[in-house]
Order: sequence, then structure tokens, then C-alpha cells
Amino acid sequence: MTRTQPPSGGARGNMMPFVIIVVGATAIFALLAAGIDPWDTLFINPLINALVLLDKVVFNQFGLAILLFTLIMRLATIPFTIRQLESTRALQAVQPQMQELQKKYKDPKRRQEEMMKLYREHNINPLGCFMPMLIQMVVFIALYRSLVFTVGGSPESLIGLSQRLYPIGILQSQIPLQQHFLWLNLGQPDTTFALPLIVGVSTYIQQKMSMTPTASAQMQQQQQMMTWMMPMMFVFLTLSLPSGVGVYWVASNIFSLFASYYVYGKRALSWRQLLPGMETAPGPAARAPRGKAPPPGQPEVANEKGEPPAAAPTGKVRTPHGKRRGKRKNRR
Amino acid sequence: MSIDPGVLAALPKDAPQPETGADCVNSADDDGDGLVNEGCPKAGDERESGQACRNDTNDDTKKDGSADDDVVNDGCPVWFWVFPPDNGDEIDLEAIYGAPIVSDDTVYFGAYDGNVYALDAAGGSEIWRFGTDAPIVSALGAEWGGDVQAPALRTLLAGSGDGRVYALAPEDGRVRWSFDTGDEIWASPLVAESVFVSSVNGKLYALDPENRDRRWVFETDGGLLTDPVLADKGTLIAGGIGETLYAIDSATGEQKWSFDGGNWFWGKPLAGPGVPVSPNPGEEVPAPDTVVYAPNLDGKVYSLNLRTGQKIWEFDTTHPVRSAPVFAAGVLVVVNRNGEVYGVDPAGRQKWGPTLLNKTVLADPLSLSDDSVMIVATGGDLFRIDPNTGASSPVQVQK
Repeated sequence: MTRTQPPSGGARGNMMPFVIIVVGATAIFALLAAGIDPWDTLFINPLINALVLLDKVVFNQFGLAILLFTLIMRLATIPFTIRQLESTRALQAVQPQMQELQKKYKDPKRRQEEMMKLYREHNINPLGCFMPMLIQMVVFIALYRSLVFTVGGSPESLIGLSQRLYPIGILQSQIPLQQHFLWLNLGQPDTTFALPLIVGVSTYIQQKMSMTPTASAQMQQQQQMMTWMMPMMFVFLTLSLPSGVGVYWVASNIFSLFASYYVYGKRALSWRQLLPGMETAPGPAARAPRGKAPPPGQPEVANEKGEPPAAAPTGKVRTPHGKRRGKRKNRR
Repeated sequence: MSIDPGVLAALPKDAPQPETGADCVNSADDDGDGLVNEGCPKAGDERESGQACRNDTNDDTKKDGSADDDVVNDGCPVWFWVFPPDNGDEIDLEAIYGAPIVSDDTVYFGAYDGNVYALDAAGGSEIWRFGTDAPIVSALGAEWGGDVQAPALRTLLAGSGDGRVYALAPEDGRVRWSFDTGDEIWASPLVAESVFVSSVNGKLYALDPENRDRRWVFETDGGLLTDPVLADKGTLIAGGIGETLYAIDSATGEQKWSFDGGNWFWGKPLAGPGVPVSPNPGEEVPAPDTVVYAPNLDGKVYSLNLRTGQKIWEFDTTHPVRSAPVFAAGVLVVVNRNGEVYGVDPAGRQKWGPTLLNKTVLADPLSLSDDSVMIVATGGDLFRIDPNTGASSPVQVQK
């Protein structure tokens, strides 16, 4: 079964990010013109009020409210996450062709053109992984700011909250929020170092799983470095930020694990892949030495002389995990 | 120089001003005249060591222009002692939220480290301490006995973040009784015919001072944050997160009236004599017996008729007001969180201001005996405000 190519004539779909950017920019300028801080008005204040409302839902356990918020946030952005993971998997699938291109085209410009062509053919957006990451970082920063106001650790921090909480009785009655969750004071950094450690390990696993195989040794080295740098950075951040931010990050990483399992299947979670120093195991699709067949009317990858590739990879990108599981059932 | 956070400092009474040009280099009374760092004395007096003789004018004058003292260049006042002392003692108060109580040469206060401390007022040495299980973020309450001329402290009351209010013996810190409110206590307990304790769970309790028996409980939807105030003999004022200020019958716990502000009430309300205020100039109106001046985090101070709860006027400082307003020389001095100080007359008209301190102010100002107002900013800076003009001057203190 060959995966159906998404409709390419998605002019409306392609316009969507542009529309979002224009609408967002207009709203920001309108708020600025009115003397209102757009960051607070559009992100921080709604987030604070949402967290307080969730606290009500989970019976005044603010730690659970953060977990519930993480789940909702990740579910709301699941299309981006799935797209990122599929993009990564598709990149893995075309690695043989990429290596082929590296060998064949010495001219960087031509090589770049051919690579872009390859991306287009396989519906790969090399920047596809940035949107989920961007969303995560925006939420991370906004959550940090929100926690400073909601569980700032001292009574006077609530003065800031009073200026941001909507005048709704159900929200006001929740204040002050319960700061303690498990062994943590959500408004203070974790002095036991347990949470920073969990954050570091979960970020490392997340990084390992989201690594994109690349033909370039230099890029591979950069990715390896990032695999260590990111966890280290988040460990140090967690040491100085309110614990609630760390709780969010760990929960978010766990969600990413499940999302990866959904897309890649359980082989994506192999311990071998997670071990330090091991090369990134090619994804399930990459192991199949076949690339996706180009759409009709488009040439396969050719060399600079216009010759067909020696071993032009053909094949398919694997379907999402749910579909694959169905195939396993059939096999049984 | 400011007072370090988490330190209780004893300052000279009314915090005397340094003389012009004083150089605060010497903090020892090394000529034995009871003054420190007075710099260059007049002829005939012994010279202090360490002074810088840049100023030989006795220029600290009284309000009528006469000389304030007989000393020139008397430099900077020093604090007498600090607690915890700099002797390696591992006490970390973290912060002190409420004003101390002084009685019989002993200073009592509660700290963010959860302890109630009793110190020797003369030297600052610790007499006793009592530990609670959570931070204390309000001033201690006190039950006074004796007569007006010689009041005697009978019981200290400490509200703690552990949800309990503790009645302590001033002599040794022994617990006489305690009462669990069920949630954190952020407001100072008040002792009158009952002990009034409010909690962030929105409940205000009236307890028997002798045996902690509950007389009544008043419940609201939002946490109660303001220190309860007995505005007259039978009316208790309290407010908090629910944006509502309540007047409660102190004997029965029945609500008399309520008033909705634009945000939370947190600063301690002030009760004072009313003045006639008419919306129409020239029209005579009777003065309300008592007025409640209630600061709000919406940036306003509301003047309310104590009998009816009706708003008489409001004064907008544009930033949250956490500190209690204070009357000095007939002027209501209001300082908001941003350190903007306003003088308001009892009719609600701005007399002066804003005087900008450029510091965050959360603590209640202190009215001094010379009619000036002392403001303690977050971070430990002290300012003296002239209530007639609004002029501010930093109070220089030196360790």
C-alpha cells in the first residue's frame, strides 16, 4: 500500500500561516497602539486564568492543573507534532537518496536544488520541526511568567496576580493556590535536584528521538552536541525556575514519547537508540532501502549529467502507527 | 544606606536627620556624650574621631527655624542594634512583614521563618522564640491590660501560614491556646471583646480571648487579606480577594453592609472622623460620624460612611495601594506600590503629590511624633515625608 500523497493544490492550506501571521501582527499592533502590552494580554493573562480555572477542575491541586494544562496544550497542537514527527520520518526515509545526491553533485548550488526537489517530491518540510518547538518554547516562557504570578512563593507576588485575574467569582475564590505538589513547591526551584534530573533525562530522550538523520557529518556532529546541550540547558533552567515549569516540561516530554510511539511504533523507543554514543538508529522507514516513488510526471533523482540514479530508491513512507498495527493484525 | 532584608533594626527615635555635609564614617560614641558621629563639635567640646569637618553649621533646624540641637555636623544616626546579629548566628528571618510590638523593654515580632521572637529592646539580644510550622506574614496581635497610662501586654497572638493562631505568654512564649482556622492566615489577629482572626479561606472567626471558644464565624467567597479593623465599638471592617469590603457586627458576626471595589482589598483600612463633603459646592451636608478609608489594589482609596457603607469619595493613585493610609497633620498620606506618595485632604482633594520614591512600597507608613511620616520601602530604604508639602528625604542610617 502506498501512502496517499496529500493534495498538493492546498492553496488555502498554504495561505493559513500567512493569514495567522497577518491577523496576529494586526492584533499586536492594535494592542500596542492602545497602550496595552500584547504579550501579557494575549498570552500571560489568558494562561493565568486558564490555570486557575483548571485548578478548580482538579480540586485545588495546582500541580494537577499544570499536568492537565500540558495535556490540553499538547493535544491542541498535536497536528503540528504529528507533522514534525512525520517530517522527521520522511527525512529518514530519503536518507539514501540524500547520500546519493551528496555524492553526485559537487556543486553546492545544484546539490541544494536537487535536495529541495527531493523534499518537494516527498512532501517534506525541512522547517516542519520548528513550529512545535516554537510553540513549546512560547508556552514554556509564558508558563514561567504565569507561575511567577500564580505561585510566586510569597504573598506579595499575588499583587501582580490581582491585576491579571479576570473578575470572575469562580476564579477569585481559588486564590491563593496550593503551592505544594508531590515533594515540590511549584513556585520555587526544586532544591532536591530530583526534578532537574528528571527534566534532563526526559529532554535527552526526547532529543534522541527527534534527531534527524543527516548525510552531512558536520550536521550529525551538531545534532549530537544538541542532544547533550539541550538537556544540560534545561537542567540549569530548572535549577533556577519555579518547579511548576519543570513539571510542565517533563509532562510535555512524556507526551512526546507517546506521540513518537504513535508515529514510529515501539521500535522508536528502543533502548539501543537512546544510549549515549550510539548512532541515531534509522527510523523504521529509513531501514527500508526504498524511497517514496515520485509522483507521476516527475523524474527520479538524476545526476548532473541527467543520468538516472544507479540505485534509485523507491518505496514508500510508512503509514502512521495505528495503520501499521492494523497490518500486524492482518499478518496474524 | 538601607536596612538589609530580613533584619530588624532599632533606630534612634524619630530617626534624626543627618546634618548637611555629614560624613558617616564613624559610628562610635567615642567622646561619651551620647551622640555618635557628630563630626566636628563646637568649640569647647571634645572632638570625635573619624569625622570629616566639612560643615561647621548647626543646620538641622526645627520647624520654626530654631536650632534643633547644639551640635554641628552631627552626621548620620546609627541604628542601635540589628537582629539577627552579625556574629555567625544561623538565624535567617527571610523577611519581616508586620510592625513589631514593644512592651516592657521587650520587642516582639513574627518573621517569615515561622518564628515569633522576643528581643531585649536595649541590646537586641534574643529572650525567647516560638516556632510555628509555616511563615508568619502579618504583624502580631496583642491583648493589652492595665490602664491607659500604663498598659501591660497580657497576650501575644500570632497568625501563621500553618493555619493556626497562637496565643502566647509574653514572658516566655508559652502557648496558652491555639486555634486552627483551616487555611493560611495572612492578616494580623485583632483583640477586642473577642479575638478576631481571618483566613485566606474566606472565614473570619470571633474567639473568646480566654479559652479560644468560637463565638461566631463570618464566611465570604474570597480569601480575607486585610487586617480586621474595629472602626467603632461594634463594627468590624475586613476585605480581601473577593473585591468586597465588609462591615460586620463585632458582637454577632452579622453583616452590616458591603462595598465592592475595583480589585482586591489588602491594605489595612483606616477609620477616622468624617468631614462634611457635598457634591455641590456651598451646600451644607452633615459630617458622617466615622469614615473608613479603604485602600484597594485597583489603585484607589475609597472613603466610606461607616454607618451606611456608602462611598463618599474615591481618590485614584493609578497603581495598586497595598499600604494602609495614615493621617498626619490633618492630611491623609497615601502611598501606592510604585512608591508614589499623595497627600489628600479629608474631603478627598489632592493636596500634593505624587512624590516619587522610585521604590516598591508594601509596608504600612508610620506616623512619627513630629507629624512627619516614615515610609519603609521594599529593600530597606527609609523615607521621611513632610505631610504638609509632600517633600521627601531619605533617612540615612548606618550600621
